[in-house]
Amino acid sequence: MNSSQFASLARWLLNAISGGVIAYTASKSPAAQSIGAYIANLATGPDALAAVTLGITWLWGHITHAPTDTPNPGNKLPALFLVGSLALALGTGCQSTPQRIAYQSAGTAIVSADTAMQLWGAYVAANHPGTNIEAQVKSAFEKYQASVAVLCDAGAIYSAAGTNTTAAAAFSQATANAGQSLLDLENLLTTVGVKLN
Amino acid sequence: MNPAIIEAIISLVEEMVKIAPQAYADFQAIFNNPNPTAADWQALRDKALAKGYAQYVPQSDLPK
Repeated sequence: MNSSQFASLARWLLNAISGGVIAYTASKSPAAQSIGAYIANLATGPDALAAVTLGITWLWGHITHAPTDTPNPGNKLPALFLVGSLALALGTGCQSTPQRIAYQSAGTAIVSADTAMQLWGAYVAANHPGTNIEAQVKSAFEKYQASVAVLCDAGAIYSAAGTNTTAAAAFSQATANAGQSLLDLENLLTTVGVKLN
Repeated sequence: MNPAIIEAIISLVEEMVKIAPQAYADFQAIFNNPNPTAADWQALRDKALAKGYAQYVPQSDLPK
């Protein structure tokens, strides 16, 4: 399977599975009859994490898609994120608890960001984009790290809290912040010129 | 699950093993944990903070 076929397959799989996860989540929601109500419910429901993370990773793959056949240090990233999303989707089966889904989602983001930064290191070594750009990426990365630290602290509390709604709400907020900081980092890398596909 | 989807998933995982073996191993550890505890979250936090910018970008042009 060449890289183009793989990318097509991965995108197809992600689309299919994302739809399945959203449908599964919606079917568990009391507001399943209304798309608007369902979206509103996503902001607070424990399954929001899976859907939001899937959305971020889906966007990652599509926003960063660039038609090029030239190998570059960043070309592994979409596949990694797609597989991470796939694993995330498979982790949202009937036997998963909200706490487990939360852990898997956060872990997926952390592993993916770790790989992204390794690829950024390779890009800098090859291209030396300049101190101004590097400073921006460094700042975005440190912001991401800070948000993930908060996320993990909230996750630890959430894992022990059972159905405590305050802990769940705090974790949802931390997830939103971490997701945004990860997306900001990715957008910056793309803007700088790291070709991710 | 549709056999075609299962086959596609297997292909996808095989590709991941090739391109990012460490990430794949990390994902396995995360997804094989059926009941994450506070200690697991702490380990995840430690992993996220283990490396700073300088470790990821050893050939950085930023002042040390």
